[in-house]
Amino acid sequence: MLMPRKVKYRKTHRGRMKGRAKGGTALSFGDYGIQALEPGWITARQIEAARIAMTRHIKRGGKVWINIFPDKPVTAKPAETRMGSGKGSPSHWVAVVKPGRIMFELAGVDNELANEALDRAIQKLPIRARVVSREEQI
Amino acid sequence: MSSELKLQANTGRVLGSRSSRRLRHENKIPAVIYGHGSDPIPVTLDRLEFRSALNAAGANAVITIDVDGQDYLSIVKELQRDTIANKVSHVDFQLVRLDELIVVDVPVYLTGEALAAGRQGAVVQQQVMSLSVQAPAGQIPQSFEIDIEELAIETPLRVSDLTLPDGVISQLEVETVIAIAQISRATLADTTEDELAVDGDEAIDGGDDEASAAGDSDGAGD
Repeated sequence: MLMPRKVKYRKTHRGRMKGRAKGGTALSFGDYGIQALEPGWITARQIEAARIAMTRHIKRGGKVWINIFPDKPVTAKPAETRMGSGKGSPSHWVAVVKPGRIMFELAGVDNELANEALDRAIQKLPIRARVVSREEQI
Repeated sequence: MSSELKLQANTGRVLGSRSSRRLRHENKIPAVIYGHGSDPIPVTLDRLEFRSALNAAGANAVITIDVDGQDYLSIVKELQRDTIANKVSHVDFQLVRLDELIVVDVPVYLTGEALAAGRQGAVVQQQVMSLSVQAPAGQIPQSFEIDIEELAIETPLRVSDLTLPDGVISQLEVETVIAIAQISRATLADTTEDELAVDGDEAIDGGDDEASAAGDSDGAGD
């Protein structure tokens, strides 16, 4: 799963997800992509699940790009623990995504197969998203 | 001098984000015309008219804009888009003369099926989506098309493989790669697994002592 090799601080604040994505809103590498329509945290597991769903469906051929990286640590307290005693320990990693962000890209497959594969990947994500193609961006 | 493509624009729009938002709600696009040292002219366009014009002639077409009876020859310098709604939210028009040399980005499209690359188990990857060219405003190509049938792993397509019309000069180096054929990691992993399986079979078929010992230790189910 994706995670940073080394971080400066082990725990971060949760932050806010106001507004729209500032960059990464257009397809850069592939012909098709998944665009976020809502803000949210995408965990490393969800990114991996989406990638596997996509690559299994396209089988051979095609190339997948993952444009988001889970670089934000999320902490959690152990189960059945009383409140207090400080912040929990790092549990997993998430990527912060804002509306408009292209999260995955795909190339080298035909239109129908790309749409099917990306739809399957969208099912693995916790936010509303849609399939975009290079043709409709022109 | 004028171009065949003509758009009607109105002046007198109120500047600012609030009034621009109101215009967008009315299916209009706020735009500005500038260039040649003249003062910028804020105008309003009809969204549908603009979209059909751009779809017909491409993003780099020379457009005659009729502003209150006066014609301005221009090209689209910049398009601002709402990425969620996928709508144009603002247009910058730059004034041009038909013989004036300008630098524009022309889209590059790959055509045909990459048969040679397919035989090698490779996937075509387009590196350059639009080519920056210098050309007279009246002779800007709408797009470049390049055939990828002969594209193979060892022969990438470069800018030098494009046939540019007379008067059009590429701003990129001729050696710049437009499209390459690459074997994906998944295909590479499959091939390696196949090769390993073949090697394993050969070793067992060979019947030397080590191989048979290895076969026994695996416990093949006898």
